[in-house]
Amino acid sequence: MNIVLFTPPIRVALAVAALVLIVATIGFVKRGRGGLGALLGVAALISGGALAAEALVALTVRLAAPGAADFNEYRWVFLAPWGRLGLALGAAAVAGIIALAWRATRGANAWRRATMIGLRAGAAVTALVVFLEPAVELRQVAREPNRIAVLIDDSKSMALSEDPGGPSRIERARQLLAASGETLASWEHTHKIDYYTFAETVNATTRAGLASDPAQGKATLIRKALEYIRGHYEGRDLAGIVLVSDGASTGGFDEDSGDGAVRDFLRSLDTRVHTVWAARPGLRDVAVAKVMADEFAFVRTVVRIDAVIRTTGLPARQVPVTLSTDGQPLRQKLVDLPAGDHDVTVTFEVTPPRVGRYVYEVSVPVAPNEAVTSNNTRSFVVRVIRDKIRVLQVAGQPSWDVRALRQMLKSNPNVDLISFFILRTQESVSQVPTAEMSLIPFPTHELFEQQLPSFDLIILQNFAYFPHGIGEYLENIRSYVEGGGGLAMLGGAASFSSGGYAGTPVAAALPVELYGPTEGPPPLDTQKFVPQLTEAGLVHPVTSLRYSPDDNARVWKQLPQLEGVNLIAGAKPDASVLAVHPRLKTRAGKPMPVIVTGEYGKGRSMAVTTDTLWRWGFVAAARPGDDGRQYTKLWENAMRWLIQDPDLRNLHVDSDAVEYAPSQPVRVAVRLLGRDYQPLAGGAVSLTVKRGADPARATEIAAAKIIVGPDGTAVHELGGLTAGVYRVEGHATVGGREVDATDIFLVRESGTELDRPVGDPATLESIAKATAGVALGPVDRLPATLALDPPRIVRVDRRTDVELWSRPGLLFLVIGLLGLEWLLRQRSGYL
Amino acid sequence: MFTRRGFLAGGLAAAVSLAARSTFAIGPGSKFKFGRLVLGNRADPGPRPGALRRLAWEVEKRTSVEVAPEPAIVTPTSDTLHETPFLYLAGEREIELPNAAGIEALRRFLTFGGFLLIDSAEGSTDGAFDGSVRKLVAAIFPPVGAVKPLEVVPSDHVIYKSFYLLDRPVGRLAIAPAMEAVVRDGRIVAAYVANDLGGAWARDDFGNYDFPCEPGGERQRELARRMGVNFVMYALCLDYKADQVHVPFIMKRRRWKPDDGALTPGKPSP
Repeated sequence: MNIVLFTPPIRVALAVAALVLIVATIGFVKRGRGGLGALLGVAALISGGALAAEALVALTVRLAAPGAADFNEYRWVFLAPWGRLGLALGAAAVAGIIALAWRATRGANAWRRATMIGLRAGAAVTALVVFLEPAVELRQVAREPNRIAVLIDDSKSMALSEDPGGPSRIERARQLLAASGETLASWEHTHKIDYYTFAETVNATTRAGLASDPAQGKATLIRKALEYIRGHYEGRDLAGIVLVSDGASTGGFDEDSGDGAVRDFLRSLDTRVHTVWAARPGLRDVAVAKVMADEFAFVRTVVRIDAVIRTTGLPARQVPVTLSTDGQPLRQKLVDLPAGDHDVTVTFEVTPPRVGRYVYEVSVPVAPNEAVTSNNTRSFVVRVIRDKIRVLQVAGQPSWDVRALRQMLKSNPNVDLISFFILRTQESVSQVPTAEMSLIPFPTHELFEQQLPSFDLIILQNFAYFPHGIGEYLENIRSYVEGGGGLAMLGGAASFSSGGYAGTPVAAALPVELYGPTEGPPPLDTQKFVPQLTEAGLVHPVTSLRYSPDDNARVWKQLPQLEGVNLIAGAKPDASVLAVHPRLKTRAGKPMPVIVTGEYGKGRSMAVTTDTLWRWGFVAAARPGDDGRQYTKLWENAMRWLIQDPDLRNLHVDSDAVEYAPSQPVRVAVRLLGRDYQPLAGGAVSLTVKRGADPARATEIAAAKIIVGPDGTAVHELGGLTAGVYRVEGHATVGGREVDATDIFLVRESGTELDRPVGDPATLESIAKATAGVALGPVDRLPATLALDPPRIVRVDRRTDVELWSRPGLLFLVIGLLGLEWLLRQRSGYL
Repeated sequence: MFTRRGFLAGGLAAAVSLAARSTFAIGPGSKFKFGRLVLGNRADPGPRPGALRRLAWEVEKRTSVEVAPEPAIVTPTSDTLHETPFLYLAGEREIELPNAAGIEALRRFLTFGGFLLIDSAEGSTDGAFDGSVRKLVAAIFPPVGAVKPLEVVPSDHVIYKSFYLLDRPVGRLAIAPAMEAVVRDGRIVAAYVANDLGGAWARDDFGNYDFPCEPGGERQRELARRMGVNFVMYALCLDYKADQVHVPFIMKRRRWKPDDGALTPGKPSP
């Protein structure tokens, strides 16, 4: 172990300085500049003295510690208890002694003066050494290898390959490590290498483990991975990090890696991060990267859906973007996608026809040689609720029935009513100028062509279509009902057969068969009657004026007489006859229906063959204790049934969320109500779970039989579901009637890993830059020259102290130097 | 597309619907029928016995409303009071107020949707009939605080535009500049006109008008007939005409039609 005070260059510099100073001193002395010569002479002596001191220290240690060669480190220590203050005072004393010597030797020639000052300074320094008691601690130490963390991205995007048949990104990462064997081996001399994979979490692994990593992580959370490394190695010696990734970060790191906060985070790692880009240019992909739609929407009101289509590495082209629901395409747009990497936003507008949950899907076709096809579709759920019930009431003439219905609808705060009454016919006499009348044109085109689908319910009340030019719009009304709308036709001389509806598209949507113009009896009967409730009518939501069937039957018997009905050929086979005429018969000999309901397509319709229902309100109110409420109740029931109000169902099946992650448990709440809409305790409900967006092609995956509790509810849990659209269909029997309910939910892979599969070297570059690492880019092997921090942690095996101050020679040196200085002073005539 | 089948169907429908319009309503109960309210002597034909028949004729001819020509005679306690939601009470002298049951029946009638037109034929705005009317109305709808049950109907009320555009209720006379009315929940339940509307409507069996209209002559009579039509239309349609102002807004409040330019798959592009 050789103790050195100076590095070789400094040592050389000191020697050169000493020589130069001596020469300079001679020069200045010869020129008669003794003062400056003396000063330079002192400097020359100090330079030479420093070299001599180093040699002296080395000699002292060698003599004092014969086994010094066994030690590989040393350090200086002061054994005196004076501390820093003692060192400062000692240094000040040495400086004072030199200054006094400088003053006292004035008048001496330069050489002598320099020598005397040098000798006194040397003696003072030597005394200072004795005063401070310096020692050299010799140590035999061993350094602990520090750690290199190698982070390999194993998210799903790493399984992609830019070229069909070419290596995937994770394969490139493996090849990189395989080709970097020499570098890794050299690192292992002084470091230990820890291997990790990261995606949404960080996992320790080995090089062997990497070989079988399928790269299935659902996210690329680079920052989270670095945070893990920072925490894991906190207080430990980390030589550096090597990060291998495609740079497709899904944690937002790529978007704000230039931010100050992110830079601060990267610096907090306190080590270098060297990055390797595992991706390559040239990936081809088109993706539905994002869909923006409100979670809630209103029925029959336009819903806006924005879809971001991301094209990567493909030539410019036009693609159809399709919006679908229930497996059926709803809307389609041709979109121009430019060449290169671009996002294009496509906006769709759809009008949900009914209340409930809708699973929509936006899709783009798969491009040739596309790297990722799973991101070409994106599903999402919209919950459709109702704001107000929008009703169109069209009446052929004002009447008390028209007035009663209008008053009822107007008084309902949940109804948006648009009424159109025909106030004057072609036969009406008018010699009054139009300007003196308040009549307005009947906006047939606007109502029956432009605005028809905006209504939840259309009521045709004693309205003959032909005189008003509505014939061309009857097909619109039919298709409106077929598409989910509600239609009610009320009786009158201009309704049903007498309104000429037989054989028209509207007749197809009605729940009754009409007599044609040339068949059947006169279309009207004018007798008074009290309609009789049928078995179906006893419990049907429309005619349930009371919860209890017995009460309901009693109430119906007390209703005032009606007067006159439209005669119809009969109810349609699948219609529900709720109330019938007590005497009149249909063509088939069955009681003549008065109130009939039916379903047509996705919509519902109702036929009321009399125009005197108003009597159940106003005429009934003549009786003490009767407020005519039954009329309002009947119409409220009818309205809710016609618009398919979900609350009117006896069976409810609802999942506890609209979207789930794969394997997340799905809790399906079942609620069963009896005919009186009270909980049906102990009722049995059959549940069927089907998978598939298209109901016609959905496959059954599970079935269960549920018994509801005393409160009519039960919860059924589903588990282990993979990604897809699911329907839960409930089926039960309530009061002899079959009731059904359906719910729909979505199981979707969480995360956006493959939304942006293209590799991004910029993220890796910014990380390397912020940590003083190297962004290696798309390299095939790791260079051995990468800067890594040396190991900082040492282990001391042996140690010994060599006290320099207690050497006898040091005392002789002090005495000798002072003696020489004294002799010189004597010879120079100084005291 | 116009097809032969469509043409035939339309023709038949036209024949059926027009025939229906020109024959009868679904039944007598479907027709609009005036109720003549009698207070006191049921046999009293009132000051203008033919007025309602003439008004019925006018309404039938001028509007799409089908009207029974003969009014029903009802008293406040008649079982058939609610069969005729439109009541007409005319008088030219002090009238006998109904008993408590009758008052309650009238209150019930008006509250649950009935309409009462009171027509003064006494040629004065402060005569005995006028006083009787105010007592009757006050009995049916007792004043609440300082609020009188009868209030002046402004000229922009929907009752003046329910069919014809009018601004005041003239009859045989034009001595009262405005009508007064009882309004409940925004609805006129009883209207009082002191200008002898029935005097302007009434004709004899030969078609001659019973009384001249003063001071406006036949123009005033025509306005009186129009006012009668408006009363009927208001009773049947309520604020329908006022609502028409809001229809364009209501129509546009809900936007159902997508205008995103997308195609509906399976349908040809427009």
